[in-house]
Amino acid sequence: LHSDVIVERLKKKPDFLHPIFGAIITGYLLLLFLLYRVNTAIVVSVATFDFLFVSLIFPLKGSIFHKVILLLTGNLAGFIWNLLQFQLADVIAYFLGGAFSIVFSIASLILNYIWIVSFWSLALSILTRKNLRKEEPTNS
Amino acid sequence: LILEITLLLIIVLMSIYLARHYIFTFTVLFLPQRRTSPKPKTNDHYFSVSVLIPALDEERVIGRILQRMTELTYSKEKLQVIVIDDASKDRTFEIAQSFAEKFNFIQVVRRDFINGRAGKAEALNEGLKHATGEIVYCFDADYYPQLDILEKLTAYFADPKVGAVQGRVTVLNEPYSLITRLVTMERTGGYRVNQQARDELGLIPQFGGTVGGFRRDLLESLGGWDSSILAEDTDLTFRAYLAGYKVRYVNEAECYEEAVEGWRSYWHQRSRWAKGHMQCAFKNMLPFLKCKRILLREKVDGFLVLSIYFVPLLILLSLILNVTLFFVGSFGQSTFLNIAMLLSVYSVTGGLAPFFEVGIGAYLDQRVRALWLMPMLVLLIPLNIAICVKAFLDLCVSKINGNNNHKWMKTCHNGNGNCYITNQRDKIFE
Repeated sequence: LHSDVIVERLKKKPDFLHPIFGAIITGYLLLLFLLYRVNTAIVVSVATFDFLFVSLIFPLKGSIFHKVILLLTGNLAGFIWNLLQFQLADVIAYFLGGAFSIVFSIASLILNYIWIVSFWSLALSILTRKNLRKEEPTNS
Repeated sequence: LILEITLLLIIVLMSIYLARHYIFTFTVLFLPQRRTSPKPKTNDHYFSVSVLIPALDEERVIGRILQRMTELTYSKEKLQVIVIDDASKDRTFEIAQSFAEKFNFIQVVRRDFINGRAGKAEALNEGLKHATGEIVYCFDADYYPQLDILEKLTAYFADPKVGAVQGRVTVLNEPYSLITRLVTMERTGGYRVNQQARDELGLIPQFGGTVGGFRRDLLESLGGWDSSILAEDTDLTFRAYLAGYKVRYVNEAECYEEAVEGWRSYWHQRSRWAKGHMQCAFKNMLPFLKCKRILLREKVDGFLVLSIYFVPLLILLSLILNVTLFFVGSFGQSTFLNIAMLLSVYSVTGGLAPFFEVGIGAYLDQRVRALWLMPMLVLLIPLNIAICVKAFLDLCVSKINGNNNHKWMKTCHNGNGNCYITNQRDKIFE
């Protein structure tokens, strides 16, 4: 059973400077996407990930460097994932016709879910593990 | 245009649910606890309590919980344990009776085959007739509580406005299968974040029907559990609020449960919850919204809680609308669809909670490995949609037929959780 002491230690004071920094990076990335006229669906999907990442993970305990790396990796992975998805959809639509796009729009929902949740939870688990490792010497 | 407006309304509703869960997550994670937890009092000030344990064919687990009841630190002079054997066909009665013979605070009530096997609410009402404690607790037979759980829960009744308390449920047999692991995550999000935030924000924490207690006088004045409702616990929560009482959630009062171990059991359990919740919505929505003594924020939360099992229906509806709009050749397909769908999906995973709520719950519990399993929650989305659609259709059919007797599908407990309680194994089975 989990001790409330551990939870309180994890909660601590949120560092609100980190999310501000994260928001600036996110804003810059999204601006780049828009400038290069990246598909709106990709921007929406990446923006959703960024919002959940910056607002919920950035204020947690952990180094800003790790958080930024994880955010950038997530963005890159999301971008490539979506790009591959659309390329593949184009190829399939070429053979199957326009009706495929409705199938794809529903499938892309699940595919988007998979990358967003995977990277978000992976980042959270990395941060949690790093925090736990830091706590270990003090506990012993 | 009508289709587009309908889709827009669904998206707005999804956004409200998403925002609500986001606020809950943020509250639990970053806001300091505002509502203080009362400290358990000394023995002299304890309330007398009755613990009801309804049991139907629970021979594999009943010994475990009764053994645990004998080990609770709560004063045995103020404790009454009532096992309601709901006409079991196995050795449940014999096992319970053997405990009753050894310990005078344990009592067994046996229901016959004419009245028995009619659902948990009926069994609990039978138990309530025999209860003498000021506070009545309910524990399912497969549960395994903390030793001082009653002290932690009872302390909250010092506040006369508190009519009921609810403790935290965690899963005992988590490593058993994929479904037990997913249920664990659902429970983590549901209790550690959702219930906790609702308590901290002064909204409507739910009495979950087990690991929780009610004031006996309140319970009696409400007429006990409503056996015509499959989610009799949620119904009781709303009736308590209508009677002017509050429900408190006590995160530090933890109790293990044996989660469903297969997809079929999951389906049956969740179908019962979905149907019961929908019944509750039909029964309590209007009186709750009209009630003047309930605060606006409680009304808003109550509305969203009661409507939660309709959300998967809306998701299905939004999918159908999107396909229709595609063929009609309507506006802004890709972007609009993407936003709508993302919102929909994030509103329902993991026991009708979005994934980030589940993730933050796991983070607060320091469950690193549980986080790796989060993408698997996607499996629950179509399942939850199918369950809720079927439950809704069943309810509609039964309304048309005028048949309001919904069959209680009991969840089967195999006792596989026993192997995770190593220090207790020998005591239970000796």
